[in-house]
Amino acid sequence: MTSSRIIDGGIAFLILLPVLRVLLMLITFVREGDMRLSAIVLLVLAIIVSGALLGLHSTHL
Amino acid sequence: MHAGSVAWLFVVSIGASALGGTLGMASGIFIVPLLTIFGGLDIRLAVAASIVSVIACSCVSAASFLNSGLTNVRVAIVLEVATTLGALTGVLLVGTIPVTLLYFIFAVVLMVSAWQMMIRRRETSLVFAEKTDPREWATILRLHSSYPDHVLGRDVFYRVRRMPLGLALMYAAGLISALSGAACPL
Repeated sequence: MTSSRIIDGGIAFLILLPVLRVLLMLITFVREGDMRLSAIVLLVLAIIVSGALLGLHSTHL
Repeated sequence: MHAGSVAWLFVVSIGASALGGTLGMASGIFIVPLLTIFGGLDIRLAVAASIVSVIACSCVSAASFLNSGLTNVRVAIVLEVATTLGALTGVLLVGTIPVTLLYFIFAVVLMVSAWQMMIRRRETSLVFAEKTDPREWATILRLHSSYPDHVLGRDVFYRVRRMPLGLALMYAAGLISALSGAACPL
């Protein structure tokens, strides 16, 4: 029971790594004052979040 | 899952990743068939496992590319819009697509990858950043960049072109990798 939770945590961490990278990009582009790229990064984040929500609520598998 | 099969999976995964890395492919290409054929796993579960391994492989190899200055982060994030949209479409589709079709898609991805390894990539000449079209997407988003050339010993500036085509291809790549679990070789 606990071992599978540790594995789940590890996988969640692995999945979050690239998302954190995108978040970091958002911060750097906003700091540079590059609003066009910031908007694009926000769009990517929005798509990722909607995908995650969709995955959590889907019942297949 | 008992200790023996965990050890077996561990060894096989190392082999798959090493082989994949040498060939310039993500390990997913080997992990999915290994898990379905020898592990007897549902292809959708195999794809899910493979996608997680692709993240790990990509994180490891992306670091060295970033370090060497070859990655154009601005182009990457713009293309990522299309890739994530494609993956989102894949997530929506995967529940409705029959397993046979998933196997078929995976087979096609394998064949395309094999083809790409067989043919020699033709040298595409870089377009240098002398003239830039102010109406072009790449100019508006300031995507033109440079990379350090170790042979020439200096930075080479280049123009980014055909972003709409790139976005279309990346949409397909996202869709295919969500469905097949193999990083798409586009």
